[in-house]
Amino acid sequence: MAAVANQDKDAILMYHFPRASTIPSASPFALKLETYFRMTGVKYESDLTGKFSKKGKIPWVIIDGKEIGDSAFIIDYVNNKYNIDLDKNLSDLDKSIAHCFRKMTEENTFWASISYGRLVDNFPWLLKQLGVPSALTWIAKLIVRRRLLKNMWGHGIGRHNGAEVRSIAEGDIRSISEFLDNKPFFMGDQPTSIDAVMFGFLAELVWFMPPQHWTTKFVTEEHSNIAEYCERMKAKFWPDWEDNLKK
Amino acid sequence: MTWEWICEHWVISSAAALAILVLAVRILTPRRRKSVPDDVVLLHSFPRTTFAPSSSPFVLKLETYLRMAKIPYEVDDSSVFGKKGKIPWITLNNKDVADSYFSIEHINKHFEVDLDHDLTAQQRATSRLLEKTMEENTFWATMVQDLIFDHCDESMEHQKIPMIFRLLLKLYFKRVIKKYRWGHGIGRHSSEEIRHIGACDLRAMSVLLGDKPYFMGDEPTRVDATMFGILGILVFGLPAVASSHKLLDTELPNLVKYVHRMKERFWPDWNNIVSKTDCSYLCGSTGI
Repeated sequence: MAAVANQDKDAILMYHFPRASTIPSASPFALKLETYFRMTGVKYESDLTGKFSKKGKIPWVIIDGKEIGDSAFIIDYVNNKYNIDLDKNLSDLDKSIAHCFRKMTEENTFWASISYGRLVDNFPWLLKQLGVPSALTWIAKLIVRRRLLKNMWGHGIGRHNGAEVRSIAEGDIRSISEFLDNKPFFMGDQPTSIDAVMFGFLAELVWFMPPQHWTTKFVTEEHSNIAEYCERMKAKFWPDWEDNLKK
Repeated sequence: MTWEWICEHWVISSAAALAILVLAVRILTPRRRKSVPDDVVLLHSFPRTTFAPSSSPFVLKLETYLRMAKIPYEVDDSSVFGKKGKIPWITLNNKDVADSYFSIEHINKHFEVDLDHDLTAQQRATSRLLEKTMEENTFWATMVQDLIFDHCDESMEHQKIPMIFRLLLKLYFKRVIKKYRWGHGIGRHSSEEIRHIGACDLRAMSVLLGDKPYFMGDEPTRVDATMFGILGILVFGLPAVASSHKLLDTELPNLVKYVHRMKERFWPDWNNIVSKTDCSYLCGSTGI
């Protein structure tokens, strides 16, 4: 089952996409989960073959011989298993705000910015970044992109036009910037679990969007506190960032 | 083989055929759009129900917003879907706008309304994330899960949905919604996981409301339209056995009291508005 040679049996085996050229993972959910493991010191090893879980998604893990999919459920399981609570110093009100920020970012902003920017627009760029041979581009567009567009229709975001989707994404990102303000981490002076979520998502906008995409300028210039926050998180939890990029 | 099945199950087949015929007549019969004066919003929605002014939380949200902002409006309950394949949508001075979010943006711009003008930047951020959490996550994990999947029969009975529509929902719409929520992502989880997701959301919202009368303070703001729209359906439109309704009743009384508070303030005519019969799903006020 394990595709990692000499796997440490105490380490969680995490399945996700191969490394990307400018960011350790093209998936904000995989980057979130991997950042969380680093924040908590939980040992993990990576299977970068891009194998999907039974739920058809990445990332997923094998812990205690069990397959667990979905980054949120994995984090819950890890917290219970290792008795971890990064949010122990947060009030109930702050925990609830953090919960809702996670939901908005993962269920709305992700679709309106990352999904739309990479899949609806700029799909060939994404395929090239993922190393898909150009001869297979037309198949990927016919089958994979169509499936993803259907998913977006089902979600609801796919029913809006480009300008409307951009306005939704801008409103969400503006809210994130306003809430973050000039705090070092999302909820205050110390990192909490929401920082794994927000870094996982915001880092994609800073470092892995198509060239000249509006989101990168939005988070590096108009709302530069977001880019500065990402640099802080990267320095603290990814000192080996360059070693985890596609060679 | 299909023909044999139809013959053997002639009652169900006849009911389904009749429902399709009724819908086809409604769709194909040319209707003159209701005309309203300038600067009056025409809200396109479903017919009234017996348990709430609308079975759709997004219609309830939008109509509540119109009342909160004191915008003149009339209702077209002919169930004609908008360009994005959804209800509600609005017409204002001959311009159609689909989707409740964009409808509110358009209304705000046209009438120069801002229910959030007293909020700080941080409060506006919190307001937006509450709205998006509720609409993009909690809605799927509570209302859709309870109404369509976990307690479909009990919910349809509670909502007094006509038999023909119950068949359509079970034979057709349930499959469509299953595909939608697979695309959304939430449909990939088990029912237990989805209920857990919904419960976590509702608990967070209960904490965020606290003992305030409205979500952002002493006076209602834009987000209260969304919160009332969906919580209202959970309170009035779901049977007692439904998980999210039960959770609200047993653990989150502040959310239930909030719903009643919003209802009393913005819907004093609630009892006059709700339908007295269960045929309105087919007939509406305009008839077939």
